Amino acid sequence: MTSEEAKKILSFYRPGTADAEDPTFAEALALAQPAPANARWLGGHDPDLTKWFEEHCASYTAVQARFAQIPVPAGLKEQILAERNVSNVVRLPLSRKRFTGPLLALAAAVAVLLCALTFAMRPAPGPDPLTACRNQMVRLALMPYFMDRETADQDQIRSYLAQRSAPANYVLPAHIGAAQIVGCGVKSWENTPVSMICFRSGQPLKNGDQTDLWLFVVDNSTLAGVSLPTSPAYMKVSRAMTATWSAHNRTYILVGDGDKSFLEQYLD
Amino acid sequence: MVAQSFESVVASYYEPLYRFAFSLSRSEADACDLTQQTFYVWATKSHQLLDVSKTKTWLFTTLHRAFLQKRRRDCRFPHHELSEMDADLPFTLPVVAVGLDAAQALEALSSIDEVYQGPVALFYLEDCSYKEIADILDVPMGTVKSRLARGLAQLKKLLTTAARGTEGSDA
Repeated sequence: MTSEEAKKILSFYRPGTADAEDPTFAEALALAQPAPANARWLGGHDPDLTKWFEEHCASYTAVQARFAQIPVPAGLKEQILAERNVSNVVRLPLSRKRFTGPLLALAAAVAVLLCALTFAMRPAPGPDPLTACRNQMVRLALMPYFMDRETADQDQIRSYLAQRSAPANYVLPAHIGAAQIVGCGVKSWENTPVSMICFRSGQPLKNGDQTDLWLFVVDNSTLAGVSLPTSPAYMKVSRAMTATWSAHNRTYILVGDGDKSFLEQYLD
Repeated sequence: MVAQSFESVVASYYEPLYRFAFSLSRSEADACDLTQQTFYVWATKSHQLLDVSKTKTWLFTTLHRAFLQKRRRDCRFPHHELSEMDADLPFTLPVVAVGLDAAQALEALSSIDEVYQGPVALFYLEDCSYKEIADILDVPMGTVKSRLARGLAQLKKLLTTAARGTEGSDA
């Protein structure tokens, strides 16, 4: 292996990682090590390669350290944990091998123990379902999605939603007519269809966005036992503002890419 | 059965996932959304994952796909086929990178071609093997290395320029 070949290989080497054990790098790494003082006369080591490799490692470590400095927002972990609303324990099979004979009794004992452990380590009470639902709707609005139907025709939208068992007999906010209705989609919450009606406020859209105002209509059966506000309750979620209220067995979540006043203009 | 609690998975991976998301999106809000969405998908679909050792790869893959979907919504993602490595290998970043701060490093990363940003971010951000990086990005190992080579070459140029700027302003 020549020094140039070693450099090409070591260009991908990351000090302080499992690359040190990767056989791909072994020969090149050996070549880049400084020759022992008492063996320099033997040749085979290239001082330029050694110097290049030291610089490569120093540069990698420096840049890697910069990326490691990216601060993680306080409370992110707690927010993630608070939003889970499904099974908290992931079970993965150890092996497909069948237990037989005396091992069966042992397996039964282990199963009992696991059940006891699962009970003992059961997760904390679930999050407020309304909060979790609202946060998920915001993500649906801000994350990638496609409108199922692009139309400004409200009858078509209601018909489309009804055909898919999503709430179609909703009542639009009093002043939502100030925004242009552009389409709809059917989303899901707790395995129940949710209506998403998309609007365009008229303010400049961010790059690539098609809409900046969304109304989600959720069936209250998915929020059983939750105290639901009867007048708009505002809450900032991520970069969006939300207004949530409940009426006629439906919960409405209006999501806008703006501040509170942005939403207030559409409500009573 | 091996129980892997949601909490333990979150505790293990939410920070590297957020940093990966931030390095791609350059937005705290988007990075939070991407991270939360990833764990939401994990909470609902992780039962489909049979091999616990693939958890990290699964999470990073999910986040990366979500980012790409978001990016495609914003604009058509330019597609590059890179079958061969650059002839100008080897590359190495300048030692002057030592003088840069995180913001400058991220700024430089955001300035390289989009198709190279994922590989370069994973190269620096997380202790992922090249096999894992290939799985996360859903490209062959050779493509990972060719994209890395080109991405790091661009990064080198940008960091050199940034470092010169820093030196100039210090003078």
